[in-house]
Amino acid sequence: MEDTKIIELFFARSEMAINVLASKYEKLLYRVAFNILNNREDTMECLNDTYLGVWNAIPPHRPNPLSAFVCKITRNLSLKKYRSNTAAKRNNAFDVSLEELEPCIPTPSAESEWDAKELARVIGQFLESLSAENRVLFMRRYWFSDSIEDIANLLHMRGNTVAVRLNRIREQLKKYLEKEGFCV
Amino acid sequence: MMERKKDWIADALSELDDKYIDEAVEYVKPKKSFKYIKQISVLAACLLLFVGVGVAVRMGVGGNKTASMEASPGVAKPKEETSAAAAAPMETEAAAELEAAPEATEDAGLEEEQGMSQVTTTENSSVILDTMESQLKAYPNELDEEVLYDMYVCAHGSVVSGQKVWDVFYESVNAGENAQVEIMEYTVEGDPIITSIHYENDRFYIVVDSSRDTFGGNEKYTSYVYDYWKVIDEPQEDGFVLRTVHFANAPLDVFDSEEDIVGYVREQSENSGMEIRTILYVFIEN
Repeated sequence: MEDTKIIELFFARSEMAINVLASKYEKLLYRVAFNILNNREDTMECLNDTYLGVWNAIPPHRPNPLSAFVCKITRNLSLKKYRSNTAAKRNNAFDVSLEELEPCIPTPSAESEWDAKELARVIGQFLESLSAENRVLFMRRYWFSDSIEDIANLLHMRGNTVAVRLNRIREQLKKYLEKEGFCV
Repeated sequence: MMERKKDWIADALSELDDKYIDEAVEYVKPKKSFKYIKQISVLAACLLLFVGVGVAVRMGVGGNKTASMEASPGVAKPKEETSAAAAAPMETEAAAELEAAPEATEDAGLEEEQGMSQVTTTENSSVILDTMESQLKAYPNELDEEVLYDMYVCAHGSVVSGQKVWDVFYESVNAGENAQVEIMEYTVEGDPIITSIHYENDRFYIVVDSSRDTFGGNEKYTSYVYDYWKVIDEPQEDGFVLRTVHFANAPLDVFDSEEDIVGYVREQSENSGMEIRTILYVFIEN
């Protein structure tokens, strides 16, 4: 079903909206949350919270695209949950992907005035300089925390190729950040 | 510090523009396994050739009677056991969690058992009906086993499969919980007709999908809204099997018994020159 129709259902306050949203995006949202939380129960909780969040947000919002809107809600809720979990979850997909990215991102210091939004702006500019496929590769790995294998299947590449491409992208990102004044 | 850095990176990524997320989502490839689907489609097609015929009747009452009936010239008699059909509830855990969420939908109010209430097709109703139509359109032209598994399938006035689905739907409606079911019947020629019934906020939304009926009319999808429901399980001697009867603002004194309904249906049938041997369910609207 088209996203606009789903949004109309939310505006109509029909609970069918939740069902339709879930049937269309649950697989994707599950992946977003599970890659961060690495726990089924926490993931399902986040998904339920996502649906509730969307229900409360629409109306008045009329997000476009809807997919990104719900993915963001899921990711933010998952991050919140992840941080609130006292037992640190090591070696899950989220940690692994972020640890990959860490060496090419500057360490925030007390003196540093950079905030996350500024970094996001520059990363956004960097993404614009990439090809669409490399952009997707970057986002799937570092935003969705997808595994190399999953990305390889998605983009019909070999795992080795994905790993090499990501390595190149990270190097490019590091250079780009340095050029923009971020000292890594 | 390392944790702080990780959080910082994660937060920065969260701030990225939606278009990048959307782009990455759109790259998701559709499911494969076409080969398997094709195989079971062939099986389903074979099944369609051999299964019996069901009949759906929809009538108008109260000076605006319009009958649309499909008759079975077959000789199949309805089974003795006629209790329910099948249904597929659409309730998810999320929906259940939101049960207590505020609802702005207009309340038509399912009144007393013998009560009547005004049916108005509102803007909200059309959104729901449009959604149901879209869901029906999403089904493949050749219905495979995977699709049929979630439906209540009937032929010759008896249940082929999906009894449990119906039971869940029936129980949900009686409990006042939102639910949805797809009912599939077959025409005389063996073409499938799907009727989707969605129950929400004391109201029934119904969309009939005749798109696979090669002998049907031009109208492939027809919609109805009802706010009264009565289920009749008793089998009829003359071959009528009435399972569910949905009234909307109907003069119930006319139909205060199963016999009356059967008689009315028979009359409609004779007037239209069609023979009806089995009737799965009857919808009566104003």
